[in-house]
Amino acid sequence: MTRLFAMLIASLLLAVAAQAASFRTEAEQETTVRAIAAKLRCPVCQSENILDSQSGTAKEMMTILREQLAQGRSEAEIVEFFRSRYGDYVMLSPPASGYGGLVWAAPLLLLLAGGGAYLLLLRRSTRASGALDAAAPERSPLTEQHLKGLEL
Amino acid sequence: MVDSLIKLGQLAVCLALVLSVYAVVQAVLSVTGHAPARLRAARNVLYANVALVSFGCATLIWSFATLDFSVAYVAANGSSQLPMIYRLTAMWGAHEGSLMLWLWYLTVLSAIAAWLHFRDHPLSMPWVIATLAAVQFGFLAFIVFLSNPFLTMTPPLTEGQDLNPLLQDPGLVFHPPVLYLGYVGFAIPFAFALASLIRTQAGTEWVKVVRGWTLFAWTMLTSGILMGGFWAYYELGWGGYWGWDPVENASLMPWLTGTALLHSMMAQDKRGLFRTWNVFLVVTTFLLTLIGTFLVRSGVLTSVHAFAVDPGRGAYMLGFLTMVMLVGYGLILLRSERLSADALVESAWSRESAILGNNVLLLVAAATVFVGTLYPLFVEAVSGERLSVGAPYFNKVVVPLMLAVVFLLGIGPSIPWRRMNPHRFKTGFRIPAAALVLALAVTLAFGVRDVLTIVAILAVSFAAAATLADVVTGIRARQRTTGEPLWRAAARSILIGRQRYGGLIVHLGIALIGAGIIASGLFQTAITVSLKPGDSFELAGNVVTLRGVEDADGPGYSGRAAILSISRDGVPLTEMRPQKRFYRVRSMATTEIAIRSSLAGDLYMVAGDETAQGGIVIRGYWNPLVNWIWAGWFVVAFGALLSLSSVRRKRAPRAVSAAGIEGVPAE
Repeated sequence: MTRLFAMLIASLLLAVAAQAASFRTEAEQETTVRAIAAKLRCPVCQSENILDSQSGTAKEMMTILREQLAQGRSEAEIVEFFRSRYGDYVMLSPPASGYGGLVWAAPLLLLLAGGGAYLLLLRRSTRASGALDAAAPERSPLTEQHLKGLEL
Repeated sequence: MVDSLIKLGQLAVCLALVLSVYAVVQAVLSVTGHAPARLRAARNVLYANVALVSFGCATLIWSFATLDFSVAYVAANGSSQLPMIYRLTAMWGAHEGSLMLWLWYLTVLSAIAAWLHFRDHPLSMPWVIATLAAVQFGFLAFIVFLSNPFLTMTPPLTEGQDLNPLLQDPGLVFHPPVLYLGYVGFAIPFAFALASLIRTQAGTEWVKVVRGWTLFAWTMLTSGILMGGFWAYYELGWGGYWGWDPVENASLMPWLTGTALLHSMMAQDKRGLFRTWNVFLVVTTFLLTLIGTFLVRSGVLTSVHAFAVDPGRGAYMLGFLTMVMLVGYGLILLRSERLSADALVESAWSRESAILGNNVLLLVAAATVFVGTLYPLFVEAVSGERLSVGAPYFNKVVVPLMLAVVFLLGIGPSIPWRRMNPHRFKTGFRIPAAALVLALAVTLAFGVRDVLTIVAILAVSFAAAATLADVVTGIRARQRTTGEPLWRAAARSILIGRQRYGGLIVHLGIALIGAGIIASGLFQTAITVSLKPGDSFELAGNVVTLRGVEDADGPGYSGRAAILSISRDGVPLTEMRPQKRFYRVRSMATTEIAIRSSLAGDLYMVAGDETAQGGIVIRGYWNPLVNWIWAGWFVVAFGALLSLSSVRRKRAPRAVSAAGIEGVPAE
């Protein structure tokens, strides 16, 4: 049984991983171009990056991006160049400073609040049920059997 | 004559508006006196409104079919060059008509809900009907006064402005109707939630009704979202299916809260837990479907300035949302004390606790998407600065949350309620744990080093293995006790445990979708080449050769197709013809993608600009395992329907329920 599973999963994963191999055949330069382009917003489109957009502006920006990369500029320099030209709006991933910082903090704060609420409720709840158990010890021997019945 | 028909449609909708007010009044008054007669009158309005609104929609569709350009909406969204199938579906191609579709669904589902539950829930019915009629009123008033598709103009235009070419696709026939059915489906749980709050009663009957409708709405919403993804994939031509566009996010938010609701509903069903929380989730999900519909259609998501173009509509939408929010959350605040749970979470190692964890993660994800989607609007309104929150942001923050959910998806169904014996944990997860180790080894062996990618692959493998193990364990247990042959044991146990197995099958489908998303998202290959006839390039082991470029005209457009022949190891496989189209009426260019699908992945070709020497620019993609996403949808839909088939209505006998209406609680 276990072996059957293992084989099934292995073949599934092989299929996935085989793609990883073909991924690396793509030209290094073009990979970098695509990675950067996916982070830049086409300023005249509705929430599209310059890689996917068919607009003239986006194509122009792609050309500039390729040129600058060929000149040996770094990703940060290129992004900064477009940012100085079009403003923060051009960055699909908002800057971590100013107004952008808040939107990065939001998921963390939300997760902390959610996790806190979860732990608090669990602690209060398990403590209260512990008190109940102590008050009604005759329920305990049945529990295990009860559980089995409930699961199905 | 035709002109008077559309006027009749307008009249029918106006009548429905008046009747919806009447229904609210009668339903509420039925609580104080003359109960059966008033309640029946209110219910009959729900029935009548189906007929009236259906007639309204029919006149609109008829105007499109007959190309009556004296109707302003038809003139703006139809043309004589539009094929019949898109004339019939152009109604929901733009703002006004899509609200008509929403309204039509609302009337139909309201009537079905009234018909199904009228006798079983006599004490809730006044509030259920009043809520549904009030929501109908909200939409009817908006349609009649601010967003009227029945307006005519004189003199009529001789030719319309045509439907947006991007919408001239079979996707239009399926995606919006299914998605909207998902949205509107949550209106019924919302009505029952308000009724339970007003009556301060959220008992087991409430659970059964809400569970059934939620499951139905969730299935439709899931299908609608995936259909939308599929449509974007083959129509928009950027090689992907999900761009974290505000419009997409708007449909994802109610999906996330709806998924949370489905699970926590189970805790109430089995253990009487999380009552207030479930009501909160119902109200929130319904609100998010409203926000989805309104914000997407108002254009406010592109810029706050779009809001100012039509301030009346914007103000009304905000007012309506605020109203629903105040009533829903207000009632929860007033009544939550008295809706306390029967039971408690006894241990951190229990199904209840896992469901709680699932809810926290899904809600944090929903809230994150909400913040990310609306934050640019907020900043622009406050400071005038413009900033973007796009795909890179959401991928970074939402994907890890969803991976945690996928891990839980594997664990959750095999953890028992109340508390778990640690020994069981060890034996129960032997197989998934083995799968986890194996997946890690294979992933590393293939040189994947990105942490998020590795975690994603592990999460999906673990969830798939755990779910499969769960299914197999259940079937084998039955086989052992009954001695039946394997296939019969499988069929029997799945048939008997439809709710549980349905859920597990849905989980399996989600794992498939997850695998498809990981592979196609992280291991996509793309290439852009300029080809002359005879040139070829290689993509994922396939050799693609340009044979030529030819004309490919069709109804309403002129097109050019690139003819590409595909071969592998010297063996010719097929021919692909990506097109570029130019729609004359709207003078808009679109691309028509060519796709060759296989289980391993899709070869995806987009035609670009033509070059001087009879050549053309081609952008080619190799999207591995992308079909697993669509295959996963079938699995999810099958599992959900299986689970839905286990929802039984408990019919109250006639005599008892009549007494119930007189005031004896039958619930």
